[in-house]
Amino acid sequence: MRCREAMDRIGRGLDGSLPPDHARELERHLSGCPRCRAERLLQARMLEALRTPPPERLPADFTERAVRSVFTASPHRGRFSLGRDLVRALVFSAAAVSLLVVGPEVVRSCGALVSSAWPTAVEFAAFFAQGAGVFFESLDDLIRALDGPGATLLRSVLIALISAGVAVWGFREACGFLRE
Amino acid sequence: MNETGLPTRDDDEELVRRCRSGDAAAFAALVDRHKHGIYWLVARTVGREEAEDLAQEVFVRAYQAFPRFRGESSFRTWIFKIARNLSLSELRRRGRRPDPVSWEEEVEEQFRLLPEARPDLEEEIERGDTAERARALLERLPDSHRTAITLFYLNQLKYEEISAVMEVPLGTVKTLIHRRRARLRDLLVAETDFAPPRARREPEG
Repeated sequence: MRCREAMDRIGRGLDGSLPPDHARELERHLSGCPRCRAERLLQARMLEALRTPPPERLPADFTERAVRSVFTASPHRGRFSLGRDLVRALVFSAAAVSLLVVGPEVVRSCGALVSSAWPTAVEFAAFFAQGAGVFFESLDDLIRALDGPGATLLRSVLIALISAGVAVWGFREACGFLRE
Repeated sequence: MNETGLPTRDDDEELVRRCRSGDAAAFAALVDRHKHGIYWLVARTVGREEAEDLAQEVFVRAYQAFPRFRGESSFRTWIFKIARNLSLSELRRRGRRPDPVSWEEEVEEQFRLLPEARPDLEEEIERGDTAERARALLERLPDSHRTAITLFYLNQLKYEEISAVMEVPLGTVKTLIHRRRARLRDLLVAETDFAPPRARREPEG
């Protein structure tokens, strides 16, 4: 085998596409030819370079950032909108603070306000206000009916739980807005 | 995953199906599988400085284009195509016109033998920075040739996949990769100290 032919086989041998009989002939040639052995080493080093990734590593948060770019907000929120999300955060926060401060009085006052300001909406407003008012009054009656040293404590806890639930909801919306 | 550690087509298609219904975990899995390959291709096409941001953009574009992915090609081929197109757009934005793919050039045989009668040649190659020089020479290849070499050797795409990504005939891809590899080897010999003076010449640029 001549060196020129050996060189062609060296390339295919490194690719793994050399038939076994040709590979044996090549090995025989290489055993007596330092130049072709050097050629194989050179081509092997070159292929190694082509198969070696760049030294830089991707940052650890690459995937996380890609996911964040696509899913900007959680699916139920949809994409971020300054106007809509600001209004929503303010409404929920205001409702939470109001309930925390004045509790059931807000519901009763709303009902009275609606019925005096807009007669045509009385039926609808009365329905909602009455429902809410009845709920809170019933709750109040239930707590007042309790007697003993634990009644005051229980009433405080229930009112606090209801107010805190709404407050947390509003706070979460506000935080969501600020995060965006 | 298959035995080579590369993502399989079936795995990818299942993840794509889940992504379409808004599954963020499935999208994260797809990014994890392909981010290195995409980054390598982009880095070798537009350079390392912009590569990370552009690789991010590839995945965002892919997500937006999921409704148009019909599975006619593998997901890997499809996303590499997006990466290649975005890389070419980036080159254009920089005012660098991507090289026209000239597939018919370089029929001239330039293969040169290593010098003879050098018993220490193997040792010299082993000791020297052959791999480093080969990487530097790769940077000098035209964009499309570098892309084909990268997709084949680094990303381990098959000829058929490269043909689909680069939108050129299959035979052309095979010829191109074979010639580019021979050309790189030739430049390596010409640029290395062990080459005889008559074999030296200006590198391609």
